[in-house]
Amino acid sequence: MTPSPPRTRRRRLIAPAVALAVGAVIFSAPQAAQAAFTQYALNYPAHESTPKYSAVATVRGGKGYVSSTIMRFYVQTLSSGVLVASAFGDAGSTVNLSHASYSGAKSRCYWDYTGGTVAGNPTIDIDCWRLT
Amino acid sequence: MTRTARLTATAALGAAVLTAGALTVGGIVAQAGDDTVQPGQIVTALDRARTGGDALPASLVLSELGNGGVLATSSRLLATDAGRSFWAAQDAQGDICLIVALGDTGHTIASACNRPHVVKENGLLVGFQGFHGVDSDEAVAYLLPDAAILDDVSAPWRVLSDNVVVAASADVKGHGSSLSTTDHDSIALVP
Repeated sequence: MTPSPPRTRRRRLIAPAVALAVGAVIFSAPQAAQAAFTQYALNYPAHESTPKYSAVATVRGGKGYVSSTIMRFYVQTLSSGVLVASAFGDAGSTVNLSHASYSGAKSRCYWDYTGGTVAGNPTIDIDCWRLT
Repeated sequence: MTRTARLTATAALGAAVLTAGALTVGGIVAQAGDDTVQPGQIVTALDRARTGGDALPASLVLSELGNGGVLATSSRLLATDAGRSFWAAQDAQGDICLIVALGDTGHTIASACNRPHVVKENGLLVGFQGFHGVDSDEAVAYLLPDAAILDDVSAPWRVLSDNVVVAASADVKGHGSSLSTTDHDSIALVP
């Protein structure tokens, strides 16, 4: 019996395709679940009202906190340099922000004191993530 | 090195690793452990029966919120106002969260989470701004403990529910306020 050339070629194509599909499922699912957060500030010593910026990326939000129960903490997203979303909290809160997806955007975070400028220009550690 | 010595060294190394891990976790637990108050004791709405309207927006990835993610069944809708929705929820660390879906077309959702005793003493502030084209929404909200006496709330702050007050950012600048509580404490509303 003469083997059918089309079926053989299809079989040759199916095997790599299945392998690729399985590989895609194995590797893409965890990445999709974990790629949401990218930390761009880890115990970063930030001066008052001096934002720490993420790299330019697709941004759909941010998250962070300041190591202080006194200072106010801000998480913001800028698209083409323009503020598109902002969230802030007090008393050491973990602050989250989510919104529509913006490509070519940046996340930023910073702290300030509602009672006025803090004397001595101190630094306080901040932790910040952007969401992609 | 004898087998016994190797075992001893291995055990010592293991103990050191475990101790370091315990210290790391201890730092978090110590932060969490100084709070014996349960969220439902501060905001009793968190303990009420859940209804369909309490669900958070499907666009929100709960694991992104708070510390360790917000617990899916913990959210309770507290108020709606001008296209905004306000939920209280709990995260995996036992923090209380205030989650605000803005009325903008950019689907902006802002939230803050903090320890129950902090919420009891200070309330829980979320300030938010959402801009999408010409559309925008900007305000400041507080989640207040049940003990807050809302009769003390004055303009430009508005009471939306037993636990939520809000003020437009443009109106509230310089309009801090203070509320009494039934515990004879006070909570400052700081715009």
